[in-house]
Amino acid sequence: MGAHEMITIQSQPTMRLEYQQERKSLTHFLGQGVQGVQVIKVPPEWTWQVEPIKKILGALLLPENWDSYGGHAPGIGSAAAAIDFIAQITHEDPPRPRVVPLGTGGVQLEWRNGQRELEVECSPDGSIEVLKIEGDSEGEQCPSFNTADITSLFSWLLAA
Amino acid sequence: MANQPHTLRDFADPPVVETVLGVQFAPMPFSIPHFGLYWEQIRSEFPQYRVLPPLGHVREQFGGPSGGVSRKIGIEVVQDPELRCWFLDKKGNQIIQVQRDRFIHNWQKISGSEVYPRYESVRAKFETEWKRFREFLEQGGFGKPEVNQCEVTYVNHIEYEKGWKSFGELSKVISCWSGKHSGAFLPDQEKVTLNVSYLLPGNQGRMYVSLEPVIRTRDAKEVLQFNLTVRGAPSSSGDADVLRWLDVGRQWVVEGFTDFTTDAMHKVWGRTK
Amino acid sequence: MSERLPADADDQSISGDEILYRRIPLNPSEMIQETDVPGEFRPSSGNFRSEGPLSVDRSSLSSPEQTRDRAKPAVFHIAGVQAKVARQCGCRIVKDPLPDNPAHVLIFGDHDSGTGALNGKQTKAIAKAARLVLFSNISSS
Repeated sequence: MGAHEMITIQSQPTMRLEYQQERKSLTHFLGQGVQGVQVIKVPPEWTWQVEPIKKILGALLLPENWDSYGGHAPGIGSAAAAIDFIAQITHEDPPRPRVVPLGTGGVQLEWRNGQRELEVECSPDGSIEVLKIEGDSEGEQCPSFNTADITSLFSWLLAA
Repeated sequence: MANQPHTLRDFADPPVVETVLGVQFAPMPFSIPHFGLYWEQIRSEFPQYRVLPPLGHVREQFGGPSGGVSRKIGIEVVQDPELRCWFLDKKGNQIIQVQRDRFIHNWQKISGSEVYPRYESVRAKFETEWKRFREFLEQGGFGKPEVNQCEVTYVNHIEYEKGWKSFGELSKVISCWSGKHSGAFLPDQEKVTLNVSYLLPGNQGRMYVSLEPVIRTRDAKEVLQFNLTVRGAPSSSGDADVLRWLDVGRQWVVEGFTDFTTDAMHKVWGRTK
Repeated sequence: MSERLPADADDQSISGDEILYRRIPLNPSEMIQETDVPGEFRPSSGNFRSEGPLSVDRSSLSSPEQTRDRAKPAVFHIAGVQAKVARQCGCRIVKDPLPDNPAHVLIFGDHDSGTGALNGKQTKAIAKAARLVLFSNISSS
């Protein structure tokens, strides 16, 4: 989970001009100042986002072997990736996602709109894999999904 | 500020979830290896660590149209990567935060069931660890830190359904919030975020009060986070003056918290004085 | 099982029509969802995600109640899916009897990865075909 993106311009002798660009990521909402107690700040524009984010955080509280098959509780890496994903959805009123913890320690977000479905698997290492399903097809798998494509992904989902 | 009260107002069950006492000093050439050497000295009590981005160098400014804070920005000569290290005790309730220009001690709730240990205990711990850190700096040839700011922060989590239900009832929590409008068009507020600052007399410092809705990660609960931060310069870098300033900061936090909130909420929190 | 199996290992003595049972957590409630048939529920594909091959029980050797009760005192729903559904999406099924569970089998997904875990398409296909055969609530223990 990166903190800030930095643009660094180096010139002689040894001077750096640094701009910090805050991306709308989990660290933005965590607001890591002097405070230790971890919170997710709720920006005024969040409406539907609050409930799934609470469910993601609730998944962190699952005990080990919660699924009776040795399943691990989701960790902060999965939660961060999932919250980050939700925070970057710009559509104002999408279908509400289902939040499903995975025995691998990941978190899966599921959306359905008519015959189209999205499954977004967020792994403990922060990586994201997307499965797009239409009707009875087996679906299209997009490993190493780039969150820059979220808008087009949701445009596809909502066009159903 | 009116007459200084002889005893501070107090609560049996305040909504405080974290206290932070910290000092800022002129930057020292404290680099990556020194974090490890310092950690060796405290590791038996603070066995966990985390690495985070550093906090900015901040100094309260006074005078001029809006006073405010100066932050170091723009061009700087950087030789080593800057970072901040957290050293946590076994349960995570105590944190020591160190960077090349800051030393901070936090007490925080982890499980939520901990009882606030009270300022006297937190202050004593800060004093012990600050002294230990200074000794480490002197032994390492860094000299004495020149403290230019002290800071006290209390983080409070005000839970819904305990005396109030929604932002439409914020006037039940915040004494200076009427919630009224001059007409009848607007509905109740959906969300409120508030930021207020107060000047301490004699330019001793400034208090910042912030209120915002948050989701607490430890239990996924929505709460109203109510933070009070007092920041300013002590008269000198000496221990007595630093601690004296922290005491003033704490007084402002406690009295400010009490003034800012309603009598109804004081009953919920068991006001004793 | 720790030994690496041949890539084509699949025990055909397990009939394609045999139902395979999997425990489904009650919490969170989104682990199951209603199908297009009112009152009929299926598990989320997330229930079939694992770090290695997927553990299930053969219905010929275990009832839904027996599979559920293996996790006592914890309480679970039971979902069932036909073995042929797993095979149709490229999975292989191998007997793996345990001392306390002779019905135990493993469903191998992506054999080439070395983990045997099922991929997203496989878990989705199985989840769509699976149905809840035993509902539980907290007082079912």
